[in-house]
Amino acid sequence: MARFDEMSALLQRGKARDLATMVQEELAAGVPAKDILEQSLIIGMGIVGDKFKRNEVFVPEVLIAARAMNSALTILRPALADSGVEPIGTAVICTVKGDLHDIGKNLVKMMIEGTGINVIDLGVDCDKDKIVTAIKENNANVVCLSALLTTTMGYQKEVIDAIVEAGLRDQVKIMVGGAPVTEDFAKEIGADAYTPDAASAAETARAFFA
Amino acid sequence: METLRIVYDGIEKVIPFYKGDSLLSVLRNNGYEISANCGGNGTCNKCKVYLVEGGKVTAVSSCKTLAKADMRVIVPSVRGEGLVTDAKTQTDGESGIGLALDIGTTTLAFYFVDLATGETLKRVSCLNPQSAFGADVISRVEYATNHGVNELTQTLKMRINGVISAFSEEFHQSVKRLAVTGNTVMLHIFAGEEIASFGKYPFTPAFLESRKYAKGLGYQAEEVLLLPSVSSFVGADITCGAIATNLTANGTNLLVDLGTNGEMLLSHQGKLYATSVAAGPAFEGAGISCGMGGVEGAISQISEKNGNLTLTTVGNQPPKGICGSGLIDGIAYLLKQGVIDETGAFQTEEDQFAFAPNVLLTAGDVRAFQLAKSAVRAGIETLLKVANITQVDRLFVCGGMGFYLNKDSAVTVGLFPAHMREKIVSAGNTAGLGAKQCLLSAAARKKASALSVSAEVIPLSTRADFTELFMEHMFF
Repeated sequence: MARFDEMSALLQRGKARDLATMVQEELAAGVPAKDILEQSLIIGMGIVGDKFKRNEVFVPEVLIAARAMNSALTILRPALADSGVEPIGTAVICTVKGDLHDIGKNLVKMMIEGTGINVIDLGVDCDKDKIVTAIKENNANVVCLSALLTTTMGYQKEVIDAIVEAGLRDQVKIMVGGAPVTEDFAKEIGADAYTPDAASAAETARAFFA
Repeated sequence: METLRIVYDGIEKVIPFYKGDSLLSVLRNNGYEISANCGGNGTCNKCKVYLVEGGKVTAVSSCKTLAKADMRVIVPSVRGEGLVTDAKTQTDGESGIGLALDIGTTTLAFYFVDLATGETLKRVSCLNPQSAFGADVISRVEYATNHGVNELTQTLKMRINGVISAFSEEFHQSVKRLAVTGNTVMLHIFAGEEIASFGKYPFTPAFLESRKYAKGLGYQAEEVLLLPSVSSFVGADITCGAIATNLTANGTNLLVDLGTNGEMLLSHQGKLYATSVAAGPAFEGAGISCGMGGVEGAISQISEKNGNLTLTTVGNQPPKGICGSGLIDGIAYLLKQGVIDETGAFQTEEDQFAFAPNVLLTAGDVRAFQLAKSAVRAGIETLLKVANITQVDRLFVCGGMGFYLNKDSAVTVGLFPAHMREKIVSAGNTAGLGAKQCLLSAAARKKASALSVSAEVIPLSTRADFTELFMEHMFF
């Protein structure tokens, strides 16, 4: 019997090294990488996300859990590729031009990775050309745009317009977020989704591939 | 019995007196606070008041002046100019009236000062009328980005000129020099400079240096002086704070201004390091479910003794909400009682706590506070790291919150390092005090300019170690 629950528990507590060791042991014992990802790690990250939404845990706990997830994924990736398991899709993420605040963006990135999606992180202060190019080059299916300031959130619309102009609008789902962003604003600028926190963002991104 | 009129803190009263009484005894008998170090012997010159006669204002020692019928006497206000008043205000002995103006995002503070003596003749504070364009700096930047800065400038100018006119009518004197402090954005609005660039990286200001306008800008003053800023985020209010606290004097001194942005200036071995963190509005009571500014009815202090909770509110009114200092006390209380644990999670069945029937702290409030305090603490730790030190000689806490801040609570919640507990000085409104010093003294102005250009600005958003510290200090 694979130790799915134990790995999930280690992930939730952010025990990166212990988790990495256990993932290696399980792989060596013949447990499929896909099962470790789906029946243990993704479930663990989901639990952390739910607790975050209920204010039971906070940013640091999510961050250390996400770091543990990352260390486990590093080990799992070759095994997943060997067994022909592809990421379920690719997302491009960044903070938009004029915005340097990336703590929220980094959390969203790690949570989305935790759902088995390949994430291309373009960093901060990204202009629309850079984002459009990244969508093309990586054949992305999801774009996540973050803006923390009321003065930079307007640029999210410029990015969406540029994606439309480049003829890529049908290829990607566009998600927007950040402190001043609202559901109404997301609708107004033509985004596909607004999510208020990292856990919801991961759920929504995952749902695009369902 | 005859009467005379006394103006104190902008309020005029008719007071009866007996013939032959000195002004000092009339003032004392009527409960006015006035210092007379020599005991009324006419030697110390501390009991100075101002006589208004036929459009002229004359400074006199109240102990040496006999009360006369229908005299109009202005008593300098001694209240609440901040606790850092020991540094004697130097003046250049010019004649005339000066005005030090502190343009806060929320409040305007006016200090009408006798340029010769440095006495404050009148203090006025009123709301910043730009609130109509948004409560915080960024919403005003947004407005000006879409509509231009002019409306904001004109609104501000009307209010300032209105206050100056009222003063001139009362004192029959015009303002010779107006010295202005505030954050960098407020100074831009005052000067009519566009502020759209403050909304986006790289946040380039139109100016930081001190500016002087002779008869310029349409303000009712012969000369307008804008005091120097350090960076887009560390404004002239902080420069003035450094002047008021004598930050660059002996030792290692840190100045922290707690607001939506937490600005910091560290002076160590002749070097100055400046930075600013985005703390969010929690310290100003916004973004907290029962949060409010430090106005009447706000819980400003919470203390506990033998299991009994004592609440202090502003103006001793029934509690309506909680302001920044009360929030720090409240969180410290919840930690000590084990209501929340060191990660900030509620340990009780209910994930909220009621301090008064309508004043609660919720799990979300605790989280918002954790972000704010961690940003400030991580900023402090980064500055200390850059300067390669671990301790300071003095930690000045400025701004409205400084008045009520409980040092133990501040340390308990981790806003400041525990080993700095004894170094904390509640410094009050250092921006206004420093502006007053710059108004009065060319030496102070020179010092302000020198320190504003010499400060090294430490940008935090690009530093990986800041993010690490930010995460680390989110817990208690």
